[in-house]
Amino acid sequence: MSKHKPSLLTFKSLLFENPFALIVSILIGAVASLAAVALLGISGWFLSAAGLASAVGSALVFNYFTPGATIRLMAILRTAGRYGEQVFSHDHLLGMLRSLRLWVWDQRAATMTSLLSKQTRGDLLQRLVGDLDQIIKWPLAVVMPWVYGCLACVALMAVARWVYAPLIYPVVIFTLAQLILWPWLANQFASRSVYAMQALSIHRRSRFMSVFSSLITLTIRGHWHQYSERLNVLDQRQRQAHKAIQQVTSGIKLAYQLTSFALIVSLLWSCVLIQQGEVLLRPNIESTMLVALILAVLGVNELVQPLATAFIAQGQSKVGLKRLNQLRSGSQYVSNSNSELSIPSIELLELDQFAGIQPLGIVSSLVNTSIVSGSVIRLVGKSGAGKSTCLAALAGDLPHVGDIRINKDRYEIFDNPKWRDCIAYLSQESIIFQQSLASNLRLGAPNATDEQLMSVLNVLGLKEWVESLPKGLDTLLGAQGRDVSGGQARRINLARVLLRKSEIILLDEPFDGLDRGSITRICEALREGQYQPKILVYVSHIDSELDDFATETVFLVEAD
Amino acid sequence: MKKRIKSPEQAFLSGLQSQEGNGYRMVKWLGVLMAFAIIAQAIGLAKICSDLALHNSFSLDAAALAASAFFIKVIIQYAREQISAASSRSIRFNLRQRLIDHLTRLGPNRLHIDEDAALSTRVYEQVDALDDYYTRYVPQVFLVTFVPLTILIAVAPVSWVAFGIFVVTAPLVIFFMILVGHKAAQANRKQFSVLSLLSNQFLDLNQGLAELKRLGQTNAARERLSLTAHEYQKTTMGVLRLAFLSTGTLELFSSVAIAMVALYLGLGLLEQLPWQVGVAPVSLFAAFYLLLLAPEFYLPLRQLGNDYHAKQKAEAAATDIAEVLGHTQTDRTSQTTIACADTTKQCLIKFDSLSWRQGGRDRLKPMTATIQSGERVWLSGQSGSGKSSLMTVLLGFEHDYVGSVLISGCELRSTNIEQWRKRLAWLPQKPEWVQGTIRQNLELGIGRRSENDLRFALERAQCWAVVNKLPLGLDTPISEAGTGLSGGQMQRLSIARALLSEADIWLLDEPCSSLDNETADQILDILDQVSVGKTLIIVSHDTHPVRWADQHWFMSKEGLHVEAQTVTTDV
Repeated sequence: MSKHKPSLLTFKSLLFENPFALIVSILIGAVASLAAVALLGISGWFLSAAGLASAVGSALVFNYFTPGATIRLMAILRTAGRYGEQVFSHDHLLGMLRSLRLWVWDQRAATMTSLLSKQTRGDLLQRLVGDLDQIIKWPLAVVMPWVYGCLACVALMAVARWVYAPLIYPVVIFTLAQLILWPWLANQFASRSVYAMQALSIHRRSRFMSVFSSLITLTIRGHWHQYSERLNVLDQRQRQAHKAIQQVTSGIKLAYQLTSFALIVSLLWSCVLIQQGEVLLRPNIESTMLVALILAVLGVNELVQPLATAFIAQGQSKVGLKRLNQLRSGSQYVSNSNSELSIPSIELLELDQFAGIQPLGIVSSLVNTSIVSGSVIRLVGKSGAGKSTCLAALAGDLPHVGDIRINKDRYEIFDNPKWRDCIAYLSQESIIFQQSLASNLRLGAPNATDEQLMSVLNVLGLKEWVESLPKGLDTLLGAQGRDVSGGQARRINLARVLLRKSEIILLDEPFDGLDRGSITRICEALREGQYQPKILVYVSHIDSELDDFATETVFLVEAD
Repeated sequence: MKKRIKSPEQAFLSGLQSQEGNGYRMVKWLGVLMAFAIIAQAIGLAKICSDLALHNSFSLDAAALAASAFFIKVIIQYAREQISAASSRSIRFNLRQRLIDHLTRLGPNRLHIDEDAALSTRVYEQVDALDDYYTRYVPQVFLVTFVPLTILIAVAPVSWVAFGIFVVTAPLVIFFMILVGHKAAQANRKQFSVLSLLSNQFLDLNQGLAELKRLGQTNAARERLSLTAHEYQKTTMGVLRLAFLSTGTLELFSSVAIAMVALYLGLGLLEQLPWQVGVAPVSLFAAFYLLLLAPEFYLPLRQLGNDYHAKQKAEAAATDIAEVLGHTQTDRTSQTTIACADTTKQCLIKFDSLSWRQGGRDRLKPMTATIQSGERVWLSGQSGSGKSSLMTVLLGFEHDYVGSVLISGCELRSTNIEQWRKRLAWLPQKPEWVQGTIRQNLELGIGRRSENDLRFALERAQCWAVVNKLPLGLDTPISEAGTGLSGGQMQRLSIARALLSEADIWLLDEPCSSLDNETADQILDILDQVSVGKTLIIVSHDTHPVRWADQHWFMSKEGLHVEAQTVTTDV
């Protein structure tokens, strides 16, 4: 149906979403991070070397220009790099936000029409805003700090190796602890709490909505306390989860600090010899370089701190991904064998034991009929017989039982876009989009001219209204724009249907809220005017001129 | 001492903070200790570094000092974090409990503040938005004055030049910080409003997705979404670039200040200072000491700059939360103004010059009217004329009215509200259903009923056929998403529930207004049949006249107009 194939969202797919932008921001960030560590190290070396030079009396020949310039360069790299990293990574993040939103849209568009209403507005909003936010944080909060930490540790290893070869061992252990052991432990201890927190906050909200929407009934029936107590229990569980996560975070932060401390101690320990209670540096080690190394460790310590909270972001985005992927479930249906077949010009439409199935499984009454081109059909039956259900099934919105044959060939019409292209269907609910009036109408015929729009509005009796609007066809409709009445909304929907100029028109209660004059004009236009279809099927509890021309009326018979 | 005038939201926030006074006092004292630990650690480390450089050795005393100072520092950090997080938790979860209790007490009046979905955002997200403020900002505010001051004092005896550099640059950093904070806050607000616009567009298109599919326009809609998201990305990046640039300036400024200190120290050590060539103003130890303290001096300021948006966020949230709590509802007055004088020959409900003003607005104009037991009243009128307010009073959610409401001669506010409410059945425009099955909802608050009772009630409400057709029957779950049952069918189920509860007073608020005409007429017919003998007040627009009512009350801005009407009932 669409060129955008629904695919599973994974961490890998997030990384490969826009790898170039991600790599650029990581590179810039890496430069900034390394510069920050180098800044501390070089300053330490410079200062101790200068002090030493001054002490041994060679201050005058000490070259302080090169290290001075290097320090300045590092300072600039650090500040500029941070800026660049923030700009690029946020650009990448916003790009990800955009493509994930489109992904959500694709999933929704691929969902069967009959299942669309299962997703509540609040739930979709939660996924669209809450869960997406958790996911796009992932590269910034998890991937990047880890990569920077990794690079800084490698650099530290190189310097340590250079200062005194055996020093590399404590640095390697430090690296393993900071980059792998602590994050892994944090995950072990707290991942369940993170998941629980996420799940609880969603559960809590739906419980709140459910309980408060029935507040009065619950208070009248005296059951309020029981329900609010349950709400409170959820909140207390949330509090426990918060507490657990926070304690793990603080603990891990402490572990990070202590690991850095242990590294400094072991570096010093490996470099000294103790003779007669005196602590002496090993002779083959340059003291100024050791000072530089120790200060660099302090720099790396700062750099790996964000990793202490990365596990939260990791857990949250994992839940976010899972919840977004749940949107796919509705879209996995078996495509019909002949949905690819194009539908010929319709001369004869036969319904054989045809009935629509409501989402809850209620089957409408059965219809048996054959409709030839040029027919006008009014569906009649007692209230609750399923007229609307039958019409919706005929439009392909709902599944059906029985067969449909077009020119004697069987077709599967349910959710079949090819079938939808042949028909125009006015459903029971009127939908107005928050767009201009013209855009709302052009959804029916994208290339319609303003004149065509005005002519259909004239038929529907909306011309005067539109002309009275200061912005005319460009008036914004819907929530942020101009409110339209129920009758106007109905007509705008009807206008969209007429503009499609389809061979088959299906109308569900087209005259609700319309005046007599408009009804007459519409009937004329449908019967012999420019909007006349080959086949017209309608349901209406209001009698109209169309009834006089309805060549056949189908009485819905009770199924069983 | 002049006290700074606090804005209402700041007063609200510090009021909440004072509930956890002990915790925050502790955090403060730990902050004092931490400042000393920072200085002790700098002394120890500087000693080690300078000794290493000069003598290739270091004293164990210095190492012990640095190590213990470091230990103390990280443990204090840990403790501070624990305490402030615990305080924040207790503030937030208590506040949330208070909010929910308050909203419950407000009853239908809560909808004057906002709709339920938005209220849930205030109760959950907005309250959690205070977290960063109480865990990070509040503890940081104290540190930001104390730590730099301590460092200044610790630096003064060592080097007056370094002291001078710190004193001169600190106010500049603060100035930049405020500037950055404002910029970031503006950027944040702007971004937020655009983001909600974006979500709105998505939801709008999603709402009409079925229609878009029918019209074959889903890809066009996708294009639209993509385009606006792209524009959003462009404009947001513009704002963010500016915000980051100002943060960058601040960073640059503090590193320039540190570099100035370092330059002074380096040149000083090499005896190359222009004004005192050949003399070293500081020892290597002092140089390391100053260099290690310089970043610590600016760190709290920079951190506060980062946490400044936590304050902005908290203030915005506080405004919303305080609005909910500020929406007061007077508690029931205990004094019994009119005792149940004479309950023998009283009419069931009597309004005696009842009126209600709230927040300077007339919610209900003075009205006087009576309803006999078993009488059915149709209440109509313009919107805003007080129909829903009358319902609110009758439901017992508002006691601050003037005049009196007499129930069998007893004043409503002095009767036992629980018992009064037990007599009521409530059918609003949108039926109230809790999450659960149809059966659970029907039996809500009345205990188990036999299958026959349920069936009988459903038959009278004319929805047995529909329920019986459902694959799961009475055990079909009802949720926010609906069951796939139509509005009319849901309303019939509500009627069945009212019948089961055996309530003798029915209050109905526009039960037909979201239904199409045909269904609305059917619902009114059913109501006519099942409510004979019940006392009933039904709010309904003139488009859905209630012909079987004994009285027609018309409410307007001027007040209540009562007219008896010729009853046309099918019963």
